[in-house]
Amino acid sequence: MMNDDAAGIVIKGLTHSYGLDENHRVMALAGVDLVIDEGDFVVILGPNGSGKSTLAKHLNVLLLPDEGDVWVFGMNTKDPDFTWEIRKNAGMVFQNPDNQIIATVVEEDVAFGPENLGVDPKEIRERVTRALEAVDMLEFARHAPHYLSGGQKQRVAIAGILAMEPKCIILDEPTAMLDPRGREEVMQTITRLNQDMGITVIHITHYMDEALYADKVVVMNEGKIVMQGTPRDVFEEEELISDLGLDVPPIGKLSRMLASHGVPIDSNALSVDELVDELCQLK
Amino acid sequence: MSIEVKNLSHIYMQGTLTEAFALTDVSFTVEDGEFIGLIGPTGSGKSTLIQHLNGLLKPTSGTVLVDGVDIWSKGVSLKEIRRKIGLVFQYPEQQVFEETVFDDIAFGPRNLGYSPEEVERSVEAARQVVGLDKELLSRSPFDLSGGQLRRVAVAGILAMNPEVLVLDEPAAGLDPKGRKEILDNIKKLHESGITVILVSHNMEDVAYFCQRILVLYDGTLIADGAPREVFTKEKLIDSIGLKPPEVTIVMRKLRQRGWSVREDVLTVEEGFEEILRCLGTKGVALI
Repeated sequence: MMNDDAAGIVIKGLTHSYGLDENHRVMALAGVDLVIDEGDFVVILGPNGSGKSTLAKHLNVLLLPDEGDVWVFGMNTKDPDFTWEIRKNAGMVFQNPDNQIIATVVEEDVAFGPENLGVDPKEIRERVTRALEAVDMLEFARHAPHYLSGGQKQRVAIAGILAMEPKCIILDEPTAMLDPRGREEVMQTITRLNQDMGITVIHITHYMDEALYADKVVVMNEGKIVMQGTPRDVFEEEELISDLGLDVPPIGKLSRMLASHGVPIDSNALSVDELVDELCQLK
Repeated sequence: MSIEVKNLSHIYMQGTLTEAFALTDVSFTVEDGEFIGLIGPTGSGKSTLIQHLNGLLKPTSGTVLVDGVDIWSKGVSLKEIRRKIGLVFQYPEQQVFEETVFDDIAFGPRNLGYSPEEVERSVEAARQVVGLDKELLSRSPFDLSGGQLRRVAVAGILAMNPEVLVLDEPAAGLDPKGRKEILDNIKKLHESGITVILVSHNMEDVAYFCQRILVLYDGTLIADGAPREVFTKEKLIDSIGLKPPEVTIVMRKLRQRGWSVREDVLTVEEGFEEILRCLGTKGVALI
């Protein structure tokens, strides 16, 4: 079941429902079509319960479709022969940093994935070093994970995924529990992995400002994709965004208020620097 | 009800090789009816501090006085202290354990010996405050989403009618609407007379909701003041890895580029007014 023309991730007609029996089923995904190109940085937004996590879990075969198909780098997730190859290529990082670290030493934790894949010990050593370097945590290789900050723990979790040399990383609200510096550390790390190593990033978040890092923003509601485009495209639809219980980032709101009061600036400046530059151009 | 923390220090694993100072000589007073934000990077001691407020942890040295009485002195009922000062922890999935959501919220009131009618009433009142759907009451808490679980955890504490509510990141993992709802509801509780202490990493929320901010860093209380005062201590805030609200950063950068805007601006609305005022004085023509 290889699909040749699918370079990155292709999702077609995906539905998934949860529930104990036929009478109490909840449609978590109600027909999702999505194409993610290799090397994309995609941010998925959507209210609680809109199906973001369920969608993410289909990308590394933690869940299988009720209907429809998911191809990850050409491999259909329904084909059991591909399960491990897909999981190796599409690693997941979750919200709570304390639930994903298992070893008592950072480097052992990072080595866990490649050890499980049966990688040669010498090669594991090299991979662990490279992975910790990539997330800027090499100096902590021999540390005990529980003394690290939240942002550092999440970077160790990301290194653990990197050590499996994936083409894609899926992050399900990795910044929800972090302080501002930890959030920034994680966002900068995954941006670097995307830009320098060409790793496809799929990042789920409730922090609207994190959407500004994306090439493409996907907005979900009630198990469907209701909007996709660049951050500017998406946040231009202020009304729809707020109807969905989401929000335009604070600077976007400020730019819009100023522009609608006649200040001649781009009404869609979303970041601090964009707005400051716009304002400083005024005479 | 007032809480006075006096020269509080806490050492974990005292007398062992891994002995670590979690809190060092922390002193402050929470007055009746305040809405306080407690901020600080991960590992700064926020969770350790709030667990001292209702006697879940005992100070290594120093005292915690509730209405002037040391909560660790003889004759003080810690059970009563814990009812009056309700703590909602960060991870809701670690705080639910009953078979249904109703039973989970009712656990506290039942433990306090409320009658079935009183239990019913407290659960219903708490459910409304947190905005939890009524039909969820009969479901298993383990079937709920993260956002719903968070509401259940808050409701379980509210159902005991606390006088002080201490919340550790009550809105983490909620979508913007859910975040706003739960914080607006907490604000209403505050307006009805409850003292609130909000632990949060979200500086926009803290700036908007709190009247006073305590900043912990490395177990030490390094700032205590109104949001405007605290967030304009630029060097201090930067040096400990926190970030003021984004609008405050815009003002800071405009000043660096020669604008005479005020820096103690915290919200989008204030930023809007201030930029318009400054443009007016510069004589920029509006379209």
